[in-house]
Amino acid sequence: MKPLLDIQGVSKAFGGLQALRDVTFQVGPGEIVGLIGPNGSGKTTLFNVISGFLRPEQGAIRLGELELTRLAPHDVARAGVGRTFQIVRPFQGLTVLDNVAAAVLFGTGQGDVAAARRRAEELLAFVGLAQHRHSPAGQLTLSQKKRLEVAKALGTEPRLLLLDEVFAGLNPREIDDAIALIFRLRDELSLTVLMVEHVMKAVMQTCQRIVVLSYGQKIAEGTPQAIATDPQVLQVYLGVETGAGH
Amino acid sequence: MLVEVVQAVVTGLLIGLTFAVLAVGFSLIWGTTGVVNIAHSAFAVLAAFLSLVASRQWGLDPIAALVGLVPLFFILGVVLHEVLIKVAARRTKELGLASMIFTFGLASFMENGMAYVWGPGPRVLNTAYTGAAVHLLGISIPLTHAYGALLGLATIGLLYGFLYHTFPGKAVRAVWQQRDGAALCGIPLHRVTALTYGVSIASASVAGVAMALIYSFTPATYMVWLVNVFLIVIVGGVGSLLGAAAAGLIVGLVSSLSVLVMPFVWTNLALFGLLILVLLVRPSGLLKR
Amino acid sequence: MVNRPRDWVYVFGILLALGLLPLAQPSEYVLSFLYFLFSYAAMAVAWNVLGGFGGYLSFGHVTFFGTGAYVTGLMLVHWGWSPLITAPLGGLAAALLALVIGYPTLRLRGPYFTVVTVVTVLIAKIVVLNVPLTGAAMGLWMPFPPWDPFTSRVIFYEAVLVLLLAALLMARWVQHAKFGFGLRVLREDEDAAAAIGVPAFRLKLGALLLSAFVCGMVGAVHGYDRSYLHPDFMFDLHPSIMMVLMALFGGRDHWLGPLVGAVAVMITDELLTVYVGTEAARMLFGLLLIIVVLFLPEGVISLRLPKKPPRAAAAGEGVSSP
Repeated sequence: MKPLLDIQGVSKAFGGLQALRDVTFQVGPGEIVGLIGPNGSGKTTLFNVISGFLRPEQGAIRLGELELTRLAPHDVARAGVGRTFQIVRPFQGLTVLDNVAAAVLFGTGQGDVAAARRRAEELLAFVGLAQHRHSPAGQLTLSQKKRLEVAKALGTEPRLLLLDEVFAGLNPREIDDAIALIFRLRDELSLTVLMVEHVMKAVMQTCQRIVVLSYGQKIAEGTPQAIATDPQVLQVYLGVETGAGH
Repeated sequence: MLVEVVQAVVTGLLIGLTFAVLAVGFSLIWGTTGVVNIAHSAFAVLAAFLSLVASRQWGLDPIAALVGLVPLFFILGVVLHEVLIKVAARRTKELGLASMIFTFGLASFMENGMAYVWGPGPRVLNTAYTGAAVHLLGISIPLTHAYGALLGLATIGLLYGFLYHTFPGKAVRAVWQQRDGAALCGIPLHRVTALTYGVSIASASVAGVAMALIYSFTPATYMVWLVNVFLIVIVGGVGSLLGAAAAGLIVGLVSSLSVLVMPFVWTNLALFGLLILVLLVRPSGLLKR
Repeated sequence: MVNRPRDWVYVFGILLALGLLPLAQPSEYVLSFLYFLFSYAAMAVAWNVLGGFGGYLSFGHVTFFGTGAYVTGLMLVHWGWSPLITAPLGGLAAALLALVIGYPTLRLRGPYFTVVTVVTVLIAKIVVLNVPLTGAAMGLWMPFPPWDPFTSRVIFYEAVLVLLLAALLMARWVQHAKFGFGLRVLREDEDAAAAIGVPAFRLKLGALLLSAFVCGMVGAVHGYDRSYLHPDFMFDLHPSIMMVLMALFGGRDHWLGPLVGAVAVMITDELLTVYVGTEAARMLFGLLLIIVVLFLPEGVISLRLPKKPPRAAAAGEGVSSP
């Protein structure tokens, strides 16, 4: 099966620091894949490279047939890659509705503001934020803001969704709700999900495959069970003294 | 020809050092609190005017007047923080941008206040050594420039010592580097920030006197000085003390050397061009590590 | 961005009435005051598209004003074309300059962008002051308009009124269109905006070009009116500062905001200058700027628009975006 996301040999350095070194893996359509690793292993850097905020020195990134590697972030978004941010970034001065409407307006070819708002209402209903649609986005709770991030990403009608630590800071109930939402994204919206995550419970329950990064390199890839018992992974997480990190 | 170049280099370094003092205080505030204090150079001009008054009323040499001016401006800095900055930090979302505007309002208020009191015309600080110069190996070093530069050097040195070798100074740096972490260590954020402003404005007063020794000034001069300060801070990197000092020297050199190679009217253009070049190529500053 | 459909009817009605004002033979003073009011308002309204909607504070728009004046002035001097006809060309020249300046500089954020805009004015002043084409330090003399003084006054009055109308229509269109939505979003968070597909650079550039175009046309009219151009007053920071003040004071989120601000600022300025003196007036403006930024960030007009629900401090993440 042709992969939806194809990452080939991606390397990225910041001055003397090699943040990513020859990272290669694929994500198939409809898969939920987890990207884990200790702090500073390059996960968010990889997300930034995929979504166009950073340019790799080497390597290529493909979404289906389309080469994403040199595209600007807004073009990547329009090409079908949605992303959330590790620290949520709602448009605080806008209403919840307009946050999502903006994504519909600019992430798709939609030109009509009113139509975009209508579509935004549907998306808000999907993530369960419909009753807050006229609130200023800055007023939501953390868990609500995270759902707003997802709704915004959905507004661009993505094929691939990059979730950056969506589970951070959520209590157990919220985590269960979020897990359910991710399954709905795959089942009802046919989305493919690549998620960076530290909350292992969430990773183990949602992902069918996991990629492990350490110091910018891929050190393991496989099913959750395989990864949980992989000696290299265990050493990286439990045995090795982590250095300076970022 | 060589003599002219060396002369230009010496003059440039001296002037650069003087500008550096002004830049250092400005950079300190920008780096630690994110506030772009447009009024910084207005405080400097105010200090210049006050030293003029001291000179006229009591015959005080401007440098002697600093004994009274520095504490006064320290207090003004703290007042600025208490009255304006604290309120602004609470009420505005993007402090950086908002600060540019309200400090500009403050600068305009001060400029026109000074114009009201002392008139808009150009003033000169006349001292016992104005016009006198030391001659060294064929190079003429005007005493005013020398004293201005020495003041500058002393102030930068004191600031460095303060920031790196005293506890309050280290607290200032701690707050700048990691605000929340500093608070967790028990550092009283507001007091430290107030201290930072006091130090910054106090340094502005020294800078004002140093600059006034060399240049004539009007209430509106603050804008001209500010442009140079921006240049220095952007070249040296925001918040970097040594960067500002080094950049001040560079700017002084560029300024005086360009007079040798192009008509005077274009020399400012060279500086502005440098500013834009740096902004476009390396906005974080040429010298910041 | 609340839309009150009836407001624009009133506004354009008032403008129409003002257009007919000269029939009532008003005093030279009134015509002159309104002439300056319309000019400033037009530029402030146009400026606001980039500065208010987009959040990119330019203190350099007077450069476009001056460019429009000089380009049309030179065309008048060398080819005899009336700036009232060639004003759009002046606007185009300004827009072209905006493109050249904006392309590298719109990449800069916040204070850095603002600094560059200030330096742009200073550079323009130096260049124009030292280039023989533009008259160098002596300035540029232009032929006088061919009408008698009163007719002249009226014609220039109507000209800037038309420009104000054009600026208002333009700003209103931007606000309600996808264009304005995008500007508003990128002002909030440019990176998050890019992540949802907002082509931020294109939008900023477009806003810059539009506002430069309007300022250029206003400059063309003013240049012709003065009949003498000199960089000291054609590339002076003061009009730029006024534009910013008017837009921010009046309300940066609404196309009418800068007009409200212009009216308030000019009336206050006039009163203060007459009764208290220029310095006191400017001191007050300094204070006004502080008060506006701190207490009325949405501008005076927000007092009249329907209130948005109050913003509570966000709990849990006081950290700003990475």
